[in-house]
Amino acid sequence: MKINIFTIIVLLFLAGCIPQIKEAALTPAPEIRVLLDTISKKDSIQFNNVYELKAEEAKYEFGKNNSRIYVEPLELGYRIFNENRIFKFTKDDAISFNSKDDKGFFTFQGKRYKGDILISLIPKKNIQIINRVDLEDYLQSVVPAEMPSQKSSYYEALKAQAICARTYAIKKMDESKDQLFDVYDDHRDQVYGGLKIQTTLASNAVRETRGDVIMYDNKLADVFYHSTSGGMLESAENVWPSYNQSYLKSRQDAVGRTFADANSPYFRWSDTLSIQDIDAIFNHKFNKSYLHQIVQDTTELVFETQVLKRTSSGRVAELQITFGDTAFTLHGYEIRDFFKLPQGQSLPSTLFTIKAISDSLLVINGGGFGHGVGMSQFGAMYMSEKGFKYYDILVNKYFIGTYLKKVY
Amino acid sequence: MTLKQFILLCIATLFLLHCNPKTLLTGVTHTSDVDSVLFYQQNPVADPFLDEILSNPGNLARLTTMILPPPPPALPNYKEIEGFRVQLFAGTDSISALSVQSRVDMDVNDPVYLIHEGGLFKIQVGDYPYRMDADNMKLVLNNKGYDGAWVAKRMIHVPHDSIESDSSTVLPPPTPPAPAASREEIITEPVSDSALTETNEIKFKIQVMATSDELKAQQMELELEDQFSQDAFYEKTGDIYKVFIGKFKTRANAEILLNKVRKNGYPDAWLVY
Repeated sequence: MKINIFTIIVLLFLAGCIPQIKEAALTPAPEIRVLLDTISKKDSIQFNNVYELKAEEAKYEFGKNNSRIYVEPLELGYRIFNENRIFKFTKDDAISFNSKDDKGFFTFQGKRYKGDILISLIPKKNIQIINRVDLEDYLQSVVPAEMPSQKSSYYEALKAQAICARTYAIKKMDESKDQLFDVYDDHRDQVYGGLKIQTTLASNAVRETRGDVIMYDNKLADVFYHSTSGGMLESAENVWPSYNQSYLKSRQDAVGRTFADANSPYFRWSDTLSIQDIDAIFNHKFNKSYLHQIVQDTTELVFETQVLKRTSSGRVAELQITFGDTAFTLHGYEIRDFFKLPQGQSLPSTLFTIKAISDSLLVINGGGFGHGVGMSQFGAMYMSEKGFKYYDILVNKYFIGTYLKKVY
Repeated sequence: MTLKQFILLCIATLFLLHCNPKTLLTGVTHTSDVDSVLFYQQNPVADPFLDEILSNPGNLARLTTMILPPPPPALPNYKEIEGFRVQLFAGTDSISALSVQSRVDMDVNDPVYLIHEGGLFKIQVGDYPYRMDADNMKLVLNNKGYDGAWVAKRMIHVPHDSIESDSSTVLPPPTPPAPAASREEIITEPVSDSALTETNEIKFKIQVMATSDELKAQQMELELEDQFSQDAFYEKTGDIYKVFIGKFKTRANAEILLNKVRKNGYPDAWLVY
């Protein structure tokens, strides 16, 4: 009997030893200011929780009974109103609606956002609607917008993406301290899709890498990413001349004997343009149609294009275009943008060859999607499926020579 | 083993299970096929696309096409030749002219023209290559009460094909001079025959292609002659060689061949003159 009592005591003791998962007190993340839109006409914001507007003389609460407010620019300043109240502001007033607790969110232009709202007037009667939000919350709405987050095999890639996005955002926040906002909510910085697009997998990836950033030489690294490299990564200085980082150099993007993003739909692509398409492009861009001009006699019309310069990765850096009596040279992104049909898409990348397969048909065979600098998202997803860990994807594959650090 | 020991064992197992359920339930650790090869790329991966790009940095593409002048305008469906009409009215008053026109229109089957020339509005009837026909019509009109009708010599309209088909016979025979008194008034403009001779000389031909390559033009010329047993030739205009087939006096004949050429492999052929 003694033994039994002893055993039970031991068991109870052991049971007490089971580590309790405690909510560790987290260092608060910084807040990022995201420009949601610049409006020039009346627009509205819907509060889904209590938000406070602090004015000089008093504090007003919104979101209980009167949850929708309207914002409208005026000749001098702007006004904010609902059924009950009108607030007028001069052009120098910058105001903020602050969420009373961290559950609050608001709806603007059909999307839901967490965090506070900053409103200020900029020249030409435009109002900037800015969302000030916890950086980690921001990332939870960025990662799923930037990378597919349905398959659990992409988990490591999502973590790598979260760290890239965080590093980029913190760097932008440092640079834009004197500005009204830190980042745009679209591809000019990072796509910020609001609360509705969040997924469990992406949010977990953000939580698990909380505070992690990529460092180089005791400073935040310059982090770039793109959809598909097409097998060849680009040096940063070939796209943005002011950059020259040793970890952003042109090289093959391979894993073993295959290219990392060979599964991407944009790994190889092809685009066919007829001389009529090119004429349509000219007509659209320069309002000049050579095919439809009236001639007195049969006239030969020539379209000629030549790659004048390629970067170290093989991407087209300069492209000469001659059509009729028009001749010019395109550089960098202009090249991708030029071959856009009036209702079409830009070229996915500048990694291409250009051939005439007949007198009137041009074929552009290309590879990759995006500028090709830094991390290839499809490459990261492939590596994640192959069992790579996020730090290997970042530190050993795409940003060689950098290291990870927890900044909060 | 006693019952107590067994219960103890059960409890211990349950406890362990609770402690680390994954090891017992799945028993699988994540296997990965990561190996050193994945991190250190020994050899570059060969790829025809990338190799082509890096070996042929400056590639050139050239498209050419021809911009064609607009096709010749359709010819009017009549021709002007010298002939006779019966004039019923000449005056400065357009309303009177219109009322005369509408009256005559009902009385005769031949075309009635309202002409404004030399400051006068004139009503003329018919297109007669022969004086005799005009004189007959004049009599008809006189009988119907148009006493002032007289025959005027001037350019008349005749159906397009009738001249080309037998131009020698249709041309009006030399006519005796009409009574001088009225004639001088009527023929306000000297009738020039330049228009007539010019239209007769129009030569239709079919352009099949235009190219900047003389060899191509020569080749096409031979092919066309073989295929259509018609005279083919090419001309140089500026930097361009144009290849033609056929020479025709009439548009109708040219169009017969044009259709044949279009159906037989040259859908873009067109008529020029």
